[in-house]
Amino acid sequence: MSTHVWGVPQNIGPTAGEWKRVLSEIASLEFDVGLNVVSSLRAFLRGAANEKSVRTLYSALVTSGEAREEVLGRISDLSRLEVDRRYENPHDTALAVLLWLTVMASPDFGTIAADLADRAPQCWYAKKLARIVLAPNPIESGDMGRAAIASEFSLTSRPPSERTVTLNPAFYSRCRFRTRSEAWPTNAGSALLEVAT
Amino acid sequence: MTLYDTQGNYLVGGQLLLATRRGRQIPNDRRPEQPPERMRAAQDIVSAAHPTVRARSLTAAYNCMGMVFASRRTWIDTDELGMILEDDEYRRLSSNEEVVLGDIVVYKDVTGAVSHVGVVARVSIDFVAGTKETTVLSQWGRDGEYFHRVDDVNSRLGSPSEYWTDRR
Repeated sequence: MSTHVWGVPQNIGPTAGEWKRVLSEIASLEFDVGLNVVSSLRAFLRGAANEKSVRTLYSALVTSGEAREEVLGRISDLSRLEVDRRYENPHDTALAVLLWLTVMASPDFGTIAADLADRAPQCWYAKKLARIVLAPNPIESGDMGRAAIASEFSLTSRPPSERTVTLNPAFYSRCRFRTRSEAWPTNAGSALLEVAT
Repeated sequence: MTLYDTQGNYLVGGQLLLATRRGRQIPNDRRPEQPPERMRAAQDIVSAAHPTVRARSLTAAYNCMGMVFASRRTWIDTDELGMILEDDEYRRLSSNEEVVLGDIVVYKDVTGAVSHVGVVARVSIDFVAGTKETTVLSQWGRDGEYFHRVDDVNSRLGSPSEYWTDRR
């Protein structure tokens, strides 16, 4: 049986009830506050990867077409909501996480999701992620290193089964895909950085 | 609102002109503010998890780096720390040197990457008990600025690893 990022079996995933529940968790204030204690997109993604709810939803996205469609629909809905322009979009965290998971689980959907998220007003992490997916060059927006983010993102965004799928040639040309057997700092070893080969 | 800088790089809120003492530009980005009620909710959640921390200010306009190196005006990525410390001629304190108010504490995550910075706000020594407690002021991402014990931070902020000073 082949495996995915985080070692999720291809044909076994959480039930619809489970992934719908974690979808609500990802939209919660507690989740938003917890993840936003960090100061960079890289740390944000690393924090998200350590959340059980995020891993559960990722498993669902890998194994269920219904989950992928539901999440894409959720991204579409959230990105169209009116927000108070004086403040950051209250759905930024949820949008960023859902976009990230979609890109990882299904690059084809990921492009669409990034386009939707990029249109959402007053976003921060969601906007930065969307620009990384959509832009010809990884964007340095001032609060993160270009190469670092591109590298981090690539490590978590290309499941082995979809290595031939290309979101954006210019983007992926900068992203060196590493496997466990290649040199990688051993102390970097969170599951986020592990890719089944 | 500025969305692109002169090189065409996308900016959320616009970059401020900010440079090190040697004149190198410090990349930064201004993040939108949070509604006051959301900041208070964040404070409640932080306080529940860390009962001894004390909020100084609740804003999302800057991060920990922006608090320390940009007068609370903008967000600066922790990746820029090395350049700033070098250009501003900070020096790392050795383990037997005294830490004083105004010194900087650098936190690192499990990978060894810089994850957080703060300013030493108080050092209290209990001579009877033979203990020393360091209080730090730092901005916790988007969730507000807090006084806290040096080791009492959200786990995502890493653990205190180094002290640096600009004292001459």
